[in-house]
Formats: sequence, C-alpha cells, structure tokens
Amino acid sequence: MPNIDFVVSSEFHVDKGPSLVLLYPNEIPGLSQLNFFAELMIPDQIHKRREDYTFFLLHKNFSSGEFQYKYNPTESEADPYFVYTIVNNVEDDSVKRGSVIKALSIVTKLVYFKHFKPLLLIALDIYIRNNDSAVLKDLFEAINKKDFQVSQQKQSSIKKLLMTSILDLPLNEKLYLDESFRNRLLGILAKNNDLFIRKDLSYNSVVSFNKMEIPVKVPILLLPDTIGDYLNPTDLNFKSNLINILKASLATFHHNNEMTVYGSATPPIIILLNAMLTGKRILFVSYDNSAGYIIDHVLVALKLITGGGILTDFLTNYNVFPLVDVSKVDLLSECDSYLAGTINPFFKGNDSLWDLLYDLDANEFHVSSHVAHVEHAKFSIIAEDARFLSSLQLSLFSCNDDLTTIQLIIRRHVNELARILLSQKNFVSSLPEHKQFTLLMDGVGYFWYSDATKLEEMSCYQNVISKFQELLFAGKFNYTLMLPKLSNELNLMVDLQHHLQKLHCMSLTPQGGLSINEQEIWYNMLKYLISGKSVETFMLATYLIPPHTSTSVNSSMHGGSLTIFDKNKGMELLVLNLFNADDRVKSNVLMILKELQDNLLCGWCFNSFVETNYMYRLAFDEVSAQIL
Amino acid sequence: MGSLDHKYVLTFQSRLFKNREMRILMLGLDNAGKTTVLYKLKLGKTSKTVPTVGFNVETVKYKNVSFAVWDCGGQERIRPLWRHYFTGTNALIYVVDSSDWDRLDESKTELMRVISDKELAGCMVIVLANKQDIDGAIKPKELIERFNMNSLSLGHTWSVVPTIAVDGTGLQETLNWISNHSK
Repeated sequence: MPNIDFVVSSEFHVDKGPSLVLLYPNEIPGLSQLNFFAELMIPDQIHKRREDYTFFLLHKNFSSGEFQYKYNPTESEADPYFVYTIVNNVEDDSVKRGSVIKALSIVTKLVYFKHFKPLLLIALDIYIRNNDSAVLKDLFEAINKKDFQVSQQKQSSIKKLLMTSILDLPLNEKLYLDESFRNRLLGILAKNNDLFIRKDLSYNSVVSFNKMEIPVKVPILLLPDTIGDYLNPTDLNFKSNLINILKASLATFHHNNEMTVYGSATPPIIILLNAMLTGKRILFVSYDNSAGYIIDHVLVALKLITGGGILTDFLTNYNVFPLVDVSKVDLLSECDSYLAGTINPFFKGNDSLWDLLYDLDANEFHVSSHVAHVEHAKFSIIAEDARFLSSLQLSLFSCNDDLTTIQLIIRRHVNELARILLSQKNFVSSLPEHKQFTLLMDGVGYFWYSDATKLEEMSCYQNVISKFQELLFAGKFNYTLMLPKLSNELNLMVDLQHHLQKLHCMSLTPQGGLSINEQEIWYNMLKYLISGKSVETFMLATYLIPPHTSTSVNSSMHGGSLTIFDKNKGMELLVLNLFNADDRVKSNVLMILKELQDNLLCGWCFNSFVETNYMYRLAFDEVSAQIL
Repeated sequence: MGSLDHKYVLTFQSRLFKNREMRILMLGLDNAGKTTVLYKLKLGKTSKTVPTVGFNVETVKYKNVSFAVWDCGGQERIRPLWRHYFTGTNALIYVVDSSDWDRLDESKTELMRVISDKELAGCMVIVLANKQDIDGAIKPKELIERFNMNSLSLGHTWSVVPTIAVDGTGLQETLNWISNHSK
C-alpha cells in the first residue's frame, strides 16, 4: 500500500473559478461524479488570507474502485481516504487581477496526514514559483519511497487503548530505551530502517525531497477514528479550541429532548456530545476565521465523541465533512446525520439543513426550530456530567495539564456515557447473539450507588438513551468495550467496569453504607483472567475508572509527593487491596497480580508501580509469603 | 409573557421608526465590480480587490435600513451555485461591466436565467451599469434596450442605475431606490 495515493494541484482560475490542474499519478477514479471537487481544495474567502488548509474525506467503492463523498455501508471500503490540502494566495501584479491562488493536495489513508505539511509547503512554494508540474511527481515519489509501517502484526484495540491510557508510569522512557520490550509490545518482527525511535513516543522518518532531508513524525500506534497521533498529540490549538467550546453559550430558546437535557441551562459541550450520541446534523460555521480554524474545531468535536477509540465508525457512518460550501447542500440533504464545518453564514439562516449549529464567531450554539420540542421537567445534572465538567475545567484552567491527560479525561467520560446509555443492554443473556457467552457474576452496566439516583439519572437521559441504543444497534457507531466483545477465550465474561466501579465507590464511602461481597467480585475477576487479552482488558478497566470526585485530584499522594495522576487509578486500585482486612481478598488480589506479571505490558506496569512506593513492595512480598 | 410583550414592543418600535432589515443579493459576471461596490458601500472607500473565492457578505446600514449584502463570485463554473442564495432575497443587485462589450450578451443571459427562478419571483431587480468612467461604456438607456429590460415580467420592479463603483457614483441612489421601493 502506498503512503499517498494521489497528489493533486488546483487553482482559482480568474475566469472559471476553482479548477483542478493536475493529478498524479493518474486521475482519481470516479472524479466525474465528485461534484465541485476543486471547491473543497480552494476554500471560500481564501482571497482574504495568504494561506489556509482544508481536508475532506473520500470513500472508495470496493467493487468499482471509484471514490465518493458519502460512505456507503454496503459498498465502501472500511477505511476512508483523506484529502489534505495546503492553499496559498500570493499577490502578483503581473497577472490579471493581481493574485495567484494555488493549492496542493495529497490523497492518503494515513491519519497523520498533517505531518506532511512541511513537505507540502515546500512543494507548493516551488509549484507557485516555477509553475513546474514535475514537483507533484517528485513529492509523490519522495513520500512513497519510505516505509512508514511500524508493526507487522495487528494489535488488539484493547492493548492500544491500554497503552494510551497509562499516564502514571514512564512508558515512553521504557519504549525508548528498551528495544526488545518495544519490539515485543508493538509486534515488530523485522527492523524498519526507515524509522527511528524518538523520545516522545513517536517514530521519525526522513523524506528526501528537493535536496532536503525533511523529518516526518510517524505514530507508534493508530487508533480508530482518530485523526493525528493520539499517543503523542502535538495539536497546539486543541486546548484553546476546547476552551472555546466550554465557554460557548446557548443562544436559542429552542429545546430538544435529546440534546438540551437540562433545558436552557445545558452546557454547550454536553449539548454537542448529546447531539453526536443521538445522530444529529451538526454544523460549525465561522465567517471571520479560516477554513483551518473551523476544521480544527470539527476535529475537537470528533475527539470528544470518539474518546480515542472508545466509540468508533464516526468517520464512515456518521458522515464527517470537515469543510463544505454551498455546492454541497444537496449532499448534506441526503444525510440523516453529519458533522460538518463551513465558512458560509448562508447555512445559519437555513435551519432546515441542520439540527445543531455552532457559530464559532459569536461562540454560540443554536438548536434548529425544526427539531424543537416542548420543554419537559428540568433535571439536575447527573453525577458523570458534573464530574466531567469539573475535571475538564480543573485540568484546563488550574492544573494546565498536557494534552494526553485531557484526552484521558475525555476518553473516560465517553466510556462512562456509553455505559450509562447502554446500562443493562450492554449484555442481554436472552439475545441469540449473546447466548454463547457466560456471565460469571451478576451485575452489568453502569453502577449507581442507589436506585433513587439511578432512576433520576436515567430519567434525565431517557431520550438520549433510547436514540443512542437505536443508532448503536443499527450500526451507526460502535462501542469498543461492549461487554460481549470482552469475553475471554472460554466465552466467560464479567462486567469488570461495573464491579470495579462498585468496589471503588465502596472504598470512598463510610463503612456500612453499601453492602457488597468484595471477595466474590475479586474471585470472579480472577476466574476471568485466563489469557493476555483478558489481563489487558482487566488492566484497561482499572485505568478507565474515573476518580469519584474531581477534588480528589488534589489530594492524591504517590510516594509522598503530590501528583496529578489520581485521574489515573490504574494499578493503585488493585495494589491497595493487599492491605484489605479480608485475607481471602488479599489472596485473590495477589493471584490477580501474579496473572498480570505474566503479561508483558501489565507486568511492567506492576513492577513500575510498586517501585513508586516501598510499602507496596513490602505488602506484596509479605502477602506472597503468607499465601505460599 | 414578559418576552412576548417585549417582542411586541420591539416590533411596534421598528414599525414606528421603520427600522428594517433587507437581504440583498449581488450577482454579475466575474470582474463586473461586485466586491468593489460592496466595500465602497460598507467602508466608504475603495481598496484593490482580488477575485472573490466563494462569496463575501457584509451588513450595510443606510438610513433606517440594514442591508445584508451577499456578493457571490461570478466565475462561470460557480454560477450554478447562485441559486442557493435566492431564498429570502428582497432585492437583486445585478452588476454589469459596461465597458466589456464582448460579454454583454453573456451577462444578459445570466441575468435572465437568474430572475426567471421562481425563488426570486417578485424580487426587486436593480441593474448597475458599472464602470461608466471607462471610455466607450454602454449607457444605461442602451443597456435597457440591449437587455430587453421592458420585457421583464410584471412581478419584478426594476431599475438601471449608472455607477462608478470606485468613486461611489450611483451607489447611494441604488440603496435609496431599494429602500423606497421595498414593501
């Protein structure tokens, strides 16, 4: 598979408008059906700016080989293609009307297409200066000459999610320094001489282009529906764009039961999440800012809803159009759900075209009058939404956390939301497709401390719950941690997240508050752990347990020093139980820890963790000696 | 109830003081001078313009009318996209480069195509015979004949105004005319 499939140049022709100029190595199949293709590369309003960038998706029909704008579940290839474009507007008094607008695009399946920006900038500069079409061929060949494949073995989603959730332990150092560990963990069978490991959890490759050696950063691992490098995010605008969404206001009086669950007081970020969870048509619009600014906000929304691989299939089934203009009105009209961006305020005045509009200039959200409902009783905010909002605000405004920590807060929230929305439907033993699985222990779905809270929170989200389930079971999107997918090789399951949440919840409440059989939970978890996959699933579940309150972030102590990683329970949840009053619990936890030790990644996690506090090591050794 | 009362008072006030909002669509072939007209109206000055990619939109306040003026790129390829802007348009400003004799027929054809669209039925049409400062520019009277404006259906109130966008000649008259003829 080539790294890039096509290089395309386009320009704004002074008499004709946006026009394709060259395609290398050949024409894109199905191009004649791709209406107003060049308009997507030459964004509206570029005459007001010197440079901009755009990207949009194409889906390849696997039988005809032709490309289409809209994904077709029965005909399109599973992975989309990205058309990434750099466009420049250069003043030139020697030409008619004084300006040259040219764009250069690559068509690729690589989600880290933005890493090719330096190469594209150089190539576009040459193309504008010399009008030399040979640069397209040179760029195509230079990029495709390199092998960017990190691993020869396919990694499980669980392992990738786990690797990208460990924030409390120095995994990057281990990966950087220990080549054999790296190779085993990533499934590298043969050394790729085109890639060099970097200290910051990425590889580097060097592309020779135009007599220059240009470094290109290659992610260590890729997650579904995740644009860019999740493990080593470098998007400078991510935080400020996320803050924009957090600070936005709701500008309309229209109410929709599936979006504005708390009436007009619903925080816009919650409205946005609910809109995506219920398959709404969502449009981001900004007349004052560049195409790149709008697209970056669309990407933040995508990051918010996918949680880096927790909910998937958005790039295909949901219809993501990062930038559209009026030529795509008909395309949008065909979609029952979409996430799109536009420069044109024309759309704002046509609320039949969207359900939720985010006006980036005014920083306001608008609910369409076409989906307006009568507002029912207002509910107070559910615990998970409150926790998410406070964690995010604390992280952004007080702790100034790095992007990976913010990503984990988002990932946890998406996971918790999916569990709330699915609840008991996460596994239904009477369903024919679930018949083959055995649930080791009762208790499935989100864990509520009391039935009254459960009733209140589910009532609040009832409309979102029914729509989300309808879309999920119809295949609009996928939940990676759906319980049946987590069964072990003997088709045994236990809802780890439910029980860990129960245990965690109990550990935070005064004694006598909740009666649960702790030992039974640990025992059944132990029964589940029979393989590398199950051990990694277990470990991931411990990392996805959110802190009970956001304030606990400030009081976490590891090894006597204050850390921010209480957001990351992970191994601590487990090791603390070596101090449990019940010997049977201690014994089960010890055996679980021994299972973890047999796994490459989890074993490393355990060893690294006990090194942080001598008491953990002592406890482990002592309990081991007692049991043996 | 409170907000309803408030709305009523606002409507009453706007009627009393005739504060109105109008949506104006400005079309024409490429290089006719649409963007120059727009920014002369908006900013009162002329800056060198480059071809419009897509569109420009600005709100121009004139007397007690707030005009939302949409200026759409005029290149041949993107003319089919004009139709998306038709809905809700109160007046069409159609800009003609009066000095470009070679493309007058093309300009006429596009105008006729646009105003025959049912979304623009009843919409006011004001044709700007622009670039009157250039020697040999077609005069308004001749343009009326050339464009056969008298044949326009009764639904359209129309006018042809001679303009020089770069110095603003005729632009105030254009807004005056639209303001006076709006219902």
